[in-house]
Amino acid sequence: MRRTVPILALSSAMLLLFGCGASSPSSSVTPAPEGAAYATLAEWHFFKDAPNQVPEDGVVPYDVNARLFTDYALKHRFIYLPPGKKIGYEPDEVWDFPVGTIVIKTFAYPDNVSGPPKTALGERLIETRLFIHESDGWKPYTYQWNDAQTEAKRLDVGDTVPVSWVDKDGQTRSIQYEIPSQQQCFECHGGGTTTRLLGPRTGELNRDWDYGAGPENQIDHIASLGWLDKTPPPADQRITYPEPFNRSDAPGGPAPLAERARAYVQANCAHCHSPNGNVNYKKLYLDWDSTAVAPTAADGLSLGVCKHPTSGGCGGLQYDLVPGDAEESILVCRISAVSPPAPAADMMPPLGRTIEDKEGVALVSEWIDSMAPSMCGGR
Amino acid sequence: MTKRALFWTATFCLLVGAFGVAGCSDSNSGEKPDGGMNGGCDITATDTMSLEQAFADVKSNQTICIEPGTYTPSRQLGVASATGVTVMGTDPDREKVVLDFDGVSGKGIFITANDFTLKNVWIKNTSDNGVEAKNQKSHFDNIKVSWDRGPDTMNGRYGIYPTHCSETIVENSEVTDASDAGLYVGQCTKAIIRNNKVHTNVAGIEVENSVDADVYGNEVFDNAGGILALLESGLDLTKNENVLFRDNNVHDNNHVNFAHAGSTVSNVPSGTGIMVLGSNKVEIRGNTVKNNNTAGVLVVGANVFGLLDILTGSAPPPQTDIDPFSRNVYIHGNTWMDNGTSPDFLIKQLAAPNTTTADVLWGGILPYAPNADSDIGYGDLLTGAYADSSRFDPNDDQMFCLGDPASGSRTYMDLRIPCLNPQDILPTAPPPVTPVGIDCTTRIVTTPEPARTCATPPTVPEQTFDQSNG
Repeated sequence: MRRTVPILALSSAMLLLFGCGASSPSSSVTPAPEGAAYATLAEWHFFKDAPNQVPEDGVVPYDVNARLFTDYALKHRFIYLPPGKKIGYEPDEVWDFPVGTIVIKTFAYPDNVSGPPKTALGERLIETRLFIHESDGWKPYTYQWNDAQTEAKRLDVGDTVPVSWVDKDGQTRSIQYEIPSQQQCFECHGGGTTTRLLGPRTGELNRDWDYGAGPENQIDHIASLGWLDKTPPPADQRITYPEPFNRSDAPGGPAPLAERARAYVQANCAHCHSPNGNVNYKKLYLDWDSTAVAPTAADGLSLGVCKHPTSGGCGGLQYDLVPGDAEESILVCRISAVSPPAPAADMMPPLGRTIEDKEGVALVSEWIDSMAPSMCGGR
Repeated sequence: MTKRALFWTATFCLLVGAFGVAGCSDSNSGEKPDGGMNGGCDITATDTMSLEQAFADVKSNQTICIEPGTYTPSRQLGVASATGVTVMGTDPDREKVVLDFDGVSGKGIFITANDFTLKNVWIKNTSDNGVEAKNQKSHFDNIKVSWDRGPDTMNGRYGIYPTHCSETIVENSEVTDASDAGLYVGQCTKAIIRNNKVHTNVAGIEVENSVDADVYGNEVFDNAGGILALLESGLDLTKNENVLFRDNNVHDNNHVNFAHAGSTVSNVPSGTGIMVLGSNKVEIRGNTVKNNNTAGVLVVGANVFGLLDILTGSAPPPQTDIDPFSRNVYIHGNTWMDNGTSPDFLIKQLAAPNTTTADVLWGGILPYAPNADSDIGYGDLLTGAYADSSRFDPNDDQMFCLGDPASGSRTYMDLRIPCLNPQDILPTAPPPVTPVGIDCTTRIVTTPEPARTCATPPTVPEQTFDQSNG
């Protein structure tokens, strides 16, 4: 919340200064016919002020508790629900969104390297992704922003964009940001009839957002719009993933280390490594439910505890997760690998990461090191 | 070509034909000679940009044609939602249609949509698998997968990688330099792997945790291990069953093992022609097996790869999800020549005091599996206990039926694991113990062998399904 409030405040200031914005007049959302996504983002009319990510009425912003690492990109998330439709509320799964739902996610970096920022938001927008629930499944579309930040055009084949920014430690970072092709979207979101949404689930959404009148629980807010098919239980009775890196300032104190790490691997690994994920056949399960299993070898292979890799491996290590020893754990080797010098195939997740998530690696390492040591089997 | 595409092509050509526009000749608008039902080109790629756009645009039952040339995609290609797609080079010489993925992270082509066909292309230099298909009814025909740097641990792990698949055919293709298996079929039901040339990989052809696989007519050479039937713990499909290796030419598989340390295939002894590990109903017939330095055929249990873990005292957890024994292995009618002349270090220690091994090498399994079967379990390395020294019976259909060879002077050897001095493998291992009930002095039996009397030889059916869209 500490970051999002100023962003909204800035956006509001922008609105006051520039009214409805020069390029996109205030208008209600205009969904494209199925299978015929517009050539430009503006045609959808999701935003009152797209360069500053100020949504139209009826386009609801949200955040998640545990975020997927994408080379330190900042993200802006929104949901558009077609008029009169309801979302199927699920206590512990991804919500059941009706056909016509559009989930919108913009990827951006601080615009702080050369010259004054181009927008009041102070971010350089790279791409805005749409995930649209069409009648035969969820369909991904991506719009790439131009350098001037005036327009985003549909791009199906992906692109590589050089990006530099000054990070929170004052270091200038430079990366080759990868906009995925439409086909690559399916690698995480599944293929064919199994295409699916990943983030919007109760554990991720049960947190506050400032919709203009101070912090408000997101799920309560969505319920107040009449969007849910049933009344959810009170906020404190819902599954809530902790924020992985929130060590000190959560109400009631920080969540336990193991829960924060489990939330991290849920957000960053479980889209494939879960009983319904793309590589479920490898039986390395890192989803929130599976990671709740006590991490001992006797409890099986769900966490990768003392599990030999199949085709994978990393750095010559023997086991996916060695309790008490992060350095001996393939899990840590994989999420910290950067190619070169590591083989590109070692890098996990395989998409959306070209550099190391140092904080994430430190968290997972601390978690594994904190587990009761195991020799992994023995006779 | 679809009717609509034909219509527009014809209309376009009619309208502009008088002005001599290129691209309206018969060769571009007509049926491709070997394209089958959908052999026409709905989309034609002529450069990298149009190739990437083609994968983005392709609809069900369409064909992407790729003109000769070198294409350098900047990211992984894939077909996820459109079914019945064919991707084919327009020149039957696959080496003229090159997709070079050098420097691109991820796989080359990743297919999750059903009824997919890929033909006449050369895929190079992928950082991960060359082609991966997780679907039903894939057909790979006349493709090549390789890495320009030659055999190297940094290469992608698998060349052609159908997984969680059914009714998959891989034929007339060539795979070389993969750092795991060149041509892999894993967790699949019904697969045909035929007439391929697979060489200079860690494992040539690997059938893992699959049912009904028919591997024939392949030339497999210069790999660390040639053709493998493997059962792995911890996967969805918990058996490897009905695997037929017939009429293959398996020779000179003596390449150094350059797999990633820790991976399953890093344990495959260099010099292995054919390896059966923890599988059930494997028939090996009609093959020519020649010049494989460790063994022509090596039959072991699925936990033999845990040997080093036992020696270091860090044995992996019991494999409760699989039956680790190799059962119903039927080897007959093969031609043998010059195998086992210079075994890999580990096998050499197991075979001691012999310095050579044999055409057929039988290793039993280690005994710590929870469902250890005293009939087949082969003894305890650390206690020297041996379940039953009489149990190696090449005529026992339920474990190992050694039928007549087609020709050649075949030899076979019983690897008696309790005879091993653990410290020969690992200096810090526990000291040797005296084996109980086992003769460690005569391990090798040479021809002439006993008469073949397998009561009910465990034959494996050939696969006869075919693809409709190829």
